[in-house]
Amino acid sequence: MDVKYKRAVYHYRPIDFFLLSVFAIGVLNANTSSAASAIETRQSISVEFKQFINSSATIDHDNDGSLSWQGNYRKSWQNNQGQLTNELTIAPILRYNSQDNQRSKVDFKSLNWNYIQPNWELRTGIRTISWRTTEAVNLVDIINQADASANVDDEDKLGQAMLNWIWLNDTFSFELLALPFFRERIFPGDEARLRGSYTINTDRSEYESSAGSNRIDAAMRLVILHDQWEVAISHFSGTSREPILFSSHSQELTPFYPIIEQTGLQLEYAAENWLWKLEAISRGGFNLPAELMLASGQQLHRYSSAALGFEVTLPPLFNSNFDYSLLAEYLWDQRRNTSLANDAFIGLRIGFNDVQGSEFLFGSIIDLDRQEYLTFIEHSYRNNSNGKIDLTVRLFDAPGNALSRAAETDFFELHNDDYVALSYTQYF
Amino acid sequence: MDKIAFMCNTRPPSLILFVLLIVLFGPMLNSSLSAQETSQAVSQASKAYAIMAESDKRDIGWQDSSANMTMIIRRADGREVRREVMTKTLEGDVGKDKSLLFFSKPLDVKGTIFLTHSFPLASDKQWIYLPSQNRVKRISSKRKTGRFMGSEFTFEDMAAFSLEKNNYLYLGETKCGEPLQPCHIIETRSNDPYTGYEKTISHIDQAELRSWKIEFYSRRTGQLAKQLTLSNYQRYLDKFWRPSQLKMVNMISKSETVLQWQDQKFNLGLADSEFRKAALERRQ
Repeated sequence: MDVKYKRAVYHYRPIDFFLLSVFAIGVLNANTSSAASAIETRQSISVEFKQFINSSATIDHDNDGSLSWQGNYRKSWQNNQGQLTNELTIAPILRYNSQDNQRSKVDFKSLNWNYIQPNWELRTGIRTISWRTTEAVNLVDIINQADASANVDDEDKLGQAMLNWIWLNDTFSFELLALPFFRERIFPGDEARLRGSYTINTDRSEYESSAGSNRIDAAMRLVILHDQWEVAISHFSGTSREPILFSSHSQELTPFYPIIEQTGLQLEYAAENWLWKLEAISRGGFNLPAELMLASGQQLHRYSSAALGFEVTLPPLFNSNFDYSLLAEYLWDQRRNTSLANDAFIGLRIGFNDVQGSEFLFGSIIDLDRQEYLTFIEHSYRNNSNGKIDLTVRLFDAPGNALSRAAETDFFELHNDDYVALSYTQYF
Repeated sequence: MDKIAFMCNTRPPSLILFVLLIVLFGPMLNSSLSAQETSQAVSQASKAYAIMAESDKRDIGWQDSSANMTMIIRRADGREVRREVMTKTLEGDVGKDKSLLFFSKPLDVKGTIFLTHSFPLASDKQWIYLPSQNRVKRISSKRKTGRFMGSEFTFEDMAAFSLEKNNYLYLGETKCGEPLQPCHIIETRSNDPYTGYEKTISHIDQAELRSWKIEFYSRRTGQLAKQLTLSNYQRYLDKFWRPSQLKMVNMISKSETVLQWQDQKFNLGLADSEFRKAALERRQ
């Protein structure tokens, strides 16, 4: 409870000065433009109820509820020729979770100013950018920290402060990013479901950098669009968004953030109704003390991982109004003992193209070494013009005779956390 | 892995096979007709092509455009829903248009942007920016038969017209339009194997080459499936005719969609840079 109240007290932080500067320069610069647009707004309130199918041995609740509000406000300015020159975006998010403080938050997805010229742009402030090609995993996507408390996949990202300069034309773009104000990964709290049996002590996080969390990270990315190909090469140098978790003492894990060098490759090729996708990374720089390497199970100073697959739009099968897409991906990691090291993903998406905009998704990640499954089913539809209903089912299936296998399976820690979630979102 | 490689290898040969079949059997189909019938069919085809090519030519030179589109979807049971979309289009060389759709209603898709780069012969390139996923995703332009936002218009109906992607046949003359005037009747058959239509039949006025009525025949049943009525034509920049209202009626379900265009503007000086994938990524 202490922690919760401490957060409510305002302390001056360098990031506030950074954001204030970005906004002040943005507003001053924008006002030299000739015409301003009206503010574009998007707002929504969402209620989610989650019911776990099995009860937990250690945690006393089988359900939880969340209430969240998200806003997105964008204002843009144009020059005399009617071309976009400046835009400011503010996107706050507020979330309250009935069971877990870590899942409750006040944050910004965006708080940025973009300066736009025909062949270059400066995008500054807090942004959430995604470098994603494949569906099951996103290996290359490294700029934003993940909010692991929100979802079991890493899809929920935290806003990252940045100075992002881009040089671009119709067929390529080249960007440089300076990333100050590192953010730690958020893990589910002690009282929450969907967590392992260990406590992750985020108050004791350690860093390889002598500057701790104040190191300024850097990244670059080159994207080439040619014919039906899209190729992206990226490099990140800085504090890893993914910590190594090592056990400092029993039943507790401490996050350690090493400095890494990660080179990424993304390929996408479109051929008729097929989309071929590849993501691959080589991540290195683990020059860690031997005891830490040992304690964390991290054995390589550099490793590679990749995901390769396709998405195919099927011809109309049973109903010509429906869209059917089939997805398949193979996931590989050089560290064979890690999760998703030799896994397959299959998925099916059905767009009903009806007035409700109904969509059905089925996906399953299959561990080919251990016959484990992580399956999800999602169904969403619009119930009226401004409201949307989402139903999600997640099943973690790690068969076998339980405890002896706990250490060597990917999803075992979660095998008791199958759940059904129902959410309603009202847009206004 | 093997499965992926297998599929990758089999695709191109199947396309070659398809082309081979057309090359081998195409002439045989024609040869079964008498020489006179053949020459008549060819002349009807070239007459129709000439009309469509002229219509296409008259639509060159508007540079770019923007407009607001409202769709009113009326279902057979009387229920009604509205969709609102803002569009921007950039005219390119011979059918290489680029277009942007900015969705504003219903509110759950507000902020969604749809970018299309059209090509005269090759497949279109399409990307979608989904605010809920904060991602710009390449999508297949082959999902043609799906309904656009649940309306009676399919993705195929909403795509840019491309002269060379179809075959045409001149069927005769009739009267159509407002006021009633002499019109051509032209049959159009798409070359795209993913089309949802066996054919469409258009009524086009002889004076200005505007389409007033289009009948869509289902590829699956061969029957008349939908009928489009275009009306309230306006002339822009003293040259370019655009309908302000399009009404699509589903002949089977009897539901209908009325598409209204407002604030149509042309030659605005839109920048090419707005129509890049990277411009969508700026929203992230």
